[in-house]
Amino acid sequence: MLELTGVDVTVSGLKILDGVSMKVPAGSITGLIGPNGAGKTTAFNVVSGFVRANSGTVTFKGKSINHVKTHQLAKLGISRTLQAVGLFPTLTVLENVMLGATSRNKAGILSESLALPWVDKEQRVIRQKSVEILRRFTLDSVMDAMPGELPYPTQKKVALARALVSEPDLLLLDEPAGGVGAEEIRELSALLQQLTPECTVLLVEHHMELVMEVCDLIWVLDAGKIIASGTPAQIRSNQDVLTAYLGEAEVS
Amino acid sequence: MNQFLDFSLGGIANGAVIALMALALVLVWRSSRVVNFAQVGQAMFTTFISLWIYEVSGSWLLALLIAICAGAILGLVVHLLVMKPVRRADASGAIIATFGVLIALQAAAGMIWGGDPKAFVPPVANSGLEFAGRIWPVSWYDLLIFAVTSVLVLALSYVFTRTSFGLAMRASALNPEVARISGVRVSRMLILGWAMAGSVGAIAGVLIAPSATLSPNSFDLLLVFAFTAAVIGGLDSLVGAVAFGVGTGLVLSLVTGYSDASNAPIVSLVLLVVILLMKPDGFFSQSKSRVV
Repeated sequence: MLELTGVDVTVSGLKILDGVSMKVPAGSITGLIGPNGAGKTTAFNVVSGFVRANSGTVTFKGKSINHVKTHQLAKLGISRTLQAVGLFPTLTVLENVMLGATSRNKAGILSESLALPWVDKEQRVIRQKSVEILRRFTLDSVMDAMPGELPYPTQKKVALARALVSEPDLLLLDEPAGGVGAEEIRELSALLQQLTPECTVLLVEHHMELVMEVCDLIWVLDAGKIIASGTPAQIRSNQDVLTAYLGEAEVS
Repeated sequence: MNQFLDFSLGGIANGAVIALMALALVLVWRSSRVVNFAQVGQAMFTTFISLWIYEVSGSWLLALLIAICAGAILGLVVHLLVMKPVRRADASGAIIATFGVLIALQAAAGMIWGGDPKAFVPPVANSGLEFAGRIWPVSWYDLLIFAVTSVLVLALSYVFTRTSFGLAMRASALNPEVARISGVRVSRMLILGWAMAGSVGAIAGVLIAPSATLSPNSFDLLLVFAFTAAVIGGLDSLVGAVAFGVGTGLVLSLVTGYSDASNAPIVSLVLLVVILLMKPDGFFSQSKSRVV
């Protein structure tokens, strides 16, 4: 589904990613873990087009997306969440989610402004889909609220709903469990497992329990380099990972 | 009492044009978070083009349509040639650059059309309507201004609140990066925002020209009043711009009527400062980030 080959990213002379090669198989939940500053979010940013790789290739469904612009990714079927929630503060919850669905909107500006009947129908479909996903996330009671009025874990759920409403083929999740409680993490775990195999998930996460529970495959990044990959069981017992990522104390 | 009513009605008519220019300022703000002080310069320039078309063709409607197109093109040119490169360097520099564009446009207009004031004949009578045995300070032309302003406000409100395009435009201004992830082509939204604002400003220019005379600096005061209205209205609110545009026109008409026209700009600025001290976000803003 997604493949990075020999990706280098250098910023101000500092190598953030150093020859990163990794694969995300279709239909899987793949984890990307590593200590703070390992380059996980940079890897996400390379896939999202926020950061351009100095060398190497990124392919999605076999085609290079190195030069694809960020706004084109949603149409290709790639969606992502941000580490910070990234909701629009003066748009309602429903509008925030509807925005995620507009990438598949075919209407032009002129036809929209003239409210042509088929455009109106498309608008209704976008709204309907957004309401449905909010219901699925039990957020329908807050759909007219502003994001700032909601607790942080609820805001995270809204951001996830926005990323999923476009029915992406690949979902990039940047620390979805950060700052949320045990109950929400259990919900998240169940949801991720429901998403596959229709949607492939690449997960950057510090919550190891969640990663080990849901991931089929895990890649470990340390100081910009991939140091290991394998199933959760393999990663758990990998000496390099335990030393570099979990630390000596944890190993013993 | 009659005098108060006369001043008020006349003020509301002038306020409708202030509201249109305030709308143009809000449209640019909504798309790119810049206050475009060149907006009146762009409107003045397109009104000169419109006047030329009117003199050649004799059709006011054609002159208005050409002004709308020229406004969109000029907005686009200002955005692509000046604002886009400047914004990359420094956000606050963009606001200063709009003053530069204003001065450049006024100088260019002076060179092309000269500095002498020109008259722009209205398409319908601009004298007070006679009704119920008296002459009212509202003309057919004022009613035309009301009609155009109302239609524009309703159309813009529809586009911003009911279409994906409007939603995308609001999102682009709030957080371009997240908007891009959601599939919004932010650069296109910026271009469209500047073009739309250019057209709305051009309509305001053509509508106000018959009530005054047209010269390179004749819209300067309109900028002060429209800026006041837009900021008090909350800067990102269409409703706020219109409500306070009309309100500003009303207050200024009363000031002019009961004292002197030269006091109007001072009252406008005092109004701006006093209201912002009491309510820094303006009245219709959803944002709570601006601080005086």
